[in-house]
Amino acid sequence: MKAMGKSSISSVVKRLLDVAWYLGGVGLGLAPLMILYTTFWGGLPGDVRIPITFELEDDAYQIASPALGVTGAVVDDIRAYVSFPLERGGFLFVNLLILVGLLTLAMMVLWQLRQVFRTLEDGAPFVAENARRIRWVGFAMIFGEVFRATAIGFWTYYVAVRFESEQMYFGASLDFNLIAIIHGFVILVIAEVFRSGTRLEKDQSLTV
Amino acid sequence: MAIHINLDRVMLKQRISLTELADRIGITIANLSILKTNKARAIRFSTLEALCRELGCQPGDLIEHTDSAREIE
Repeated sequence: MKAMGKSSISSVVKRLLDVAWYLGGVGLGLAPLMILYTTFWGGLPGDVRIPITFELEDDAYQIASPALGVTGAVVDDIRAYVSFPLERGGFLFVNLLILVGLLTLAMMVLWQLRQVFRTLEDGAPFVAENARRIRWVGFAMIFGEVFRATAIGFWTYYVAVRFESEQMYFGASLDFNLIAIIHGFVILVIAEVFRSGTRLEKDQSLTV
Repeated sequence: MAIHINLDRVMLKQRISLTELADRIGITIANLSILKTNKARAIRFSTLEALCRELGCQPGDLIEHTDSAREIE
């Protein structure tokens, strides 16, 4: 299967991006209604699920491996999720705002990627707008990771302050993914490659 | 750009049309028009050789360097 043109990998990816775009659009359209509902009427049906980090007391568990001759292995930096029903209030409102923010960013990235893959499907990747779009995706990836890490920090801090459990110690954590940031910078470099490609394409098209 | 293509002048002297010249040297009319109207960014040696051959001229007859500042004066 070819990479560009009609009935290519690019066209398949373009269709998947289209589906994600429309689904995201539905979610983003429902979000204001959810915020209004939770603000004036009540909580959301079902449970809220947020990430946590915690440590266990040493005597809460025992891990050993007779085969390896290991006794007293330690579990640390445990990451999981906690689910609980939540009635309307500030925390639910902030959660919905965070989700709307992340969804909006995802929709903007999807829009740019759809345009890029449309040009790939047309077989003409080196257009000036693609460099700008890909650069935008790179910045969105970097900013998105910072935003996500901040949201995780907020959630874990909330649980650490508001929840308690015997033998479990909740902690706050940013969960900053440096690899995602590096990916963002790699995408910025790819955007520059596209810009150079566009210039070469333009020179080539005007070379007689 | 300071490089000026005098293709139209030479074509007029040789009394040859754009269509016929394009056909003889093997490039499209569109590309030849780009060259004739000074929109081209570069010219291949093979194209230059073909033009000189068909028009019976030297590269210097087709390509001229003009001083942009002097042009404005």
